Amino acid sequence: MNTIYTLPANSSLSLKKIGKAFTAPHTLLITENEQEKIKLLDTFDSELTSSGKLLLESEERLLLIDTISGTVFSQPGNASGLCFDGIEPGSVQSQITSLSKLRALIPIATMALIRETACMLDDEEKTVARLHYYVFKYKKQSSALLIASSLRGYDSEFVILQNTIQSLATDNQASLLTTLKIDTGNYNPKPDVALDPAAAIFQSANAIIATFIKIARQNETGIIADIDTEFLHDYRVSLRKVRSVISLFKGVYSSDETMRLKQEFADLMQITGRLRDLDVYLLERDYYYSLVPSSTHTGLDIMFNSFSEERAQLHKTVRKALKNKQYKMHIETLAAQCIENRWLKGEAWQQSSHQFSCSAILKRYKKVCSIAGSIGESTPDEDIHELRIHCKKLRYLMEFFTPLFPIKEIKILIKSLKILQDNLGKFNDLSVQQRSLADFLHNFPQSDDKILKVAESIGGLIAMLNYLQKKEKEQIMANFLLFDSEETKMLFHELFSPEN
Amino acid sequence: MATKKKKNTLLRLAVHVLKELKIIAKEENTSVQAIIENEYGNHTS
Repeated sequence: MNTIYTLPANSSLSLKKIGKAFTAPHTLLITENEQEKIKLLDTFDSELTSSGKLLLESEERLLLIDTISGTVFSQPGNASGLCFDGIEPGSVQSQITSLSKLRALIPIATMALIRETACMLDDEEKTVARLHYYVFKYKKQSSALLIASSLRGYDSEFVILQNTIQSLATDNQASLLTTLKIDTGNYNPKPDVALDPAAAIFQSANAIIATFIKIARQNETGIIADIDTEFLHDYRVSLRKVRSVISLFKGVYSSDETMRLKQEFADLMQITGRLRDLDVYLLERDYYYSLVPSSTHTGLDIMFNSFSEERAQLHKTVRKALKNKQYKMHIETLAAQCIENRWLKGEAWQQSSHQFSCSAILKRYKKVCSIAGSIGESTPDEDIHELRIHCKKLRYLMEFFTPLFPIKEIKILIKSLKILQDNLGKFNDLSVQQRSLADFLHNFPQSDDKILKVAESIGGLIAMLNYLQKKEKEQIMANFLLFDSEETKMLFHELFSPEN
Repeated sequence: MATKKKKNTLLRLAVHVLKELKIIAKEENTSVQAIIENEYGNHTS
């Protein structure tokens, strides 16, 4: 069992002091005392610190302190700039398996760490408990963690130790990072925007758009530095949400304004489209290799090398575009106009947010049901794409307006929709991939003598993707039956009737 | 024959003890050897 104490800033407690406070027969033996420079690592969305884990990196070692259980793990190696798969296997790595596979670890703060370890001894000089003391110094702040670990069979000694510590120090209620004034960024790509059901929909729409422009902008630095692929992904998702508000909130902005805004945001996203496509291919690299026999891997090598080169070139272009003054001014102006409610209003702008959301969601839901109801084995792919787009719109609408409805019920509906959407998404990805693989082959120089190898690989890959796509179509039909249940239907009508 | 039986019993016991010690060592983030030295160190002679 471990007990962990977070000590207040500039606490005067030390292991020596604890040792002096012991009465016979117990003594304290300090076994280790080290000072080193360390980096606190975390993902951009604070996956580790938000779950109470401190991942520290010194020159050649990783240290993980679980501030909830008080357990400490250590292993050789580095993690800075790496995603989970890049970290060497070890005791630290095995504790952070829940980490997103796509997020890289970045240094949040560089600190000085003083580590002291001590054993509590009895009259026979047996170790009866252990103490780990970590003092963190960051800028002008300092704070400490004291971890007391009990050993089996020495429970009464552990109580003595706990009492001694409590007589010398009080546990700090604030977390270590708060005490050290380390800002973890508080990045949340899916915030619930606070909405007032009675407020005009124009106000709510602007509030939602302003939030997502801000989230997109938070990702700019990460895209420029090319830390991981999630920055670009989140950037694009946020801007897509902005575009959805503009096109789904019919009548909120004047029709000319809607057209203009649609175009402006489409232009902003256009520069990053191909880069995201390439990221997706490169992330799926291993999966592609597993789909085709190893005899055709040479062709895939050629294709992926070409993708890597293209990506490197495109990243330079995107980086330049995002650093460009004109881009900054453009997006800042859009954000300012939105916050100051300066966009031109349409005929529905005054409707209450609640009423508007109910009718928009119900209308979209009925549309999804009518398309999906007609889907069968012979349905052309285009109809499935259309269903996917309507489902996506329905999901966005429900997500935007989540704060206006009972959270439990709306989450159930979103979840049931998400299952269907995952299938539809995969179906679409498979279809896009087949098309772009064919394009790659089509554009490959005919004179190049590697073309045979490439054609062989791509042919195999397209056949496999086509097979998987057919399987996915079966799944879509099965999952739609689940989504189309009487229960879901009732819940939709109950929740989104404007009278309620 | 009696010695062989005794040896087997002792070995079985030793394996069991070692397993238990390994569990404790993992729990306490230490090694079996460290536990033995700590608990039994003064008595080995």
